[in-house]
Amino acid sequence: MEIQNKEGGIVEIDGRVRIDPGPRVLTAVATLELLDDAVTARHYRAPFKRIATVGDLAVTIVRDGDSYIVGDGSGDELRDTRGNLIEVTQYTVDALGTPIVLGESITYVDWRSKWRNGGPGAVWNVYSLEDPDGPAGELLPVWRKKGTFDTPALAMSAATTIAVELAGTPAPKDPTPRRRSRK
Amino acid sequence: MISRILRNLMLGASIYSLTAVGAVAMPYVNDRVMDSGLTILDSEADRIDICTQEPTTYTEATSTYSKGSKDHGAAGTAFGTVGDRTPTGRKVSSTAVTDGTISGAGTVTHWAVTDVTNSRLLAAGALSASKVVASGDTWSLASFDIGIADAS
Repeated sequence: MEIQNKEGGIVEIDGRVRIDPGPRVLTAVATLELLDDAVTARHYRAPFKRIATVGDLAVTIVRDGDSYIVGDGSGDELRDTRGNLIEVTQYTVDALGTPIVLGESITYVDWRSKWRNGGPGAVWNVYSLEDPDGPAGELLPVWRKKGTFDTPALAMSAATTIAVELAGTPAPKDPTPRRRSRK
Repeated sequence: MISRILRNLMLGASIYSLTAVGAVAMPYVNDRVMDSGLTILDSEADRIDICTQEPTTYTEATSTYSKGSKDHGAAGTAFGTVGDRTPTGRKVSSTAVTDGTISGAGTVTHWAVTDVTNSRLLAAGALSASKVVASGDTWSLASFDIGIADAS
């Protein structure tokens, strides 16, 4: 079993199983307190009112009858037939791409935690390199997530188990882009 | 010590007690400091992926959740140089993508900027609207900014 330390803190076993550390992904009920800049660093936002623009016409999805997920907000302001400005509700999305609605559950990445260099907010994700004929119909082999662990030791234990199971089976081609350092 | 304090009081000298407010308010940050952070995007970012959810690692950004990518081919080509941001601060602007490739079917909701040479996820965010994509399609992405505001 060959264990390699790669760039970016990635650890690979036999080129088939990978451990890549990152921040924790959390689920919580969306509140103004949770979405405060001090907690989520402006990365996730509560819905807010703004004036509709031409750019909104391209992407307008009716939600709850009278609210809208609107487009990019670009271009001139929109007015109704009386010349009044039109106000819409701008939604942003959570980490899963779901519109953030106050009082409803959201999934968010705890970017603000001290996860770098294995800090207290870090988790260790384990991935396995799988064939392209998967359920998602990828053209390329894909690193599919197998689990998330609170310590590198737990992640290594799980990764080793997967590597043992995969030993002797043909390895798909690693789709990870590679580029040599020019240093 | 007491005699020195009394002497200072008699002379009208002030004894300052200073506390930094960085913990509760954004401090002034010189353009050079902001530029050093944003320069990483200018000098090291070289790939943009569109993903089915917000990636937290390089692996997720470039494979697990990626449904399409644009590899600009060399560091320093995915973003322009650092410039002024409106209304305040500094920013870098991405190179518009016109010929990104789709590698799998799905609904993309987020973008991710990576540094391939060093296997680093540099930035990630939401697309303005989700999009259903199919294998073999191409995608485009208008230029967007990543910036840091001045202290408010």
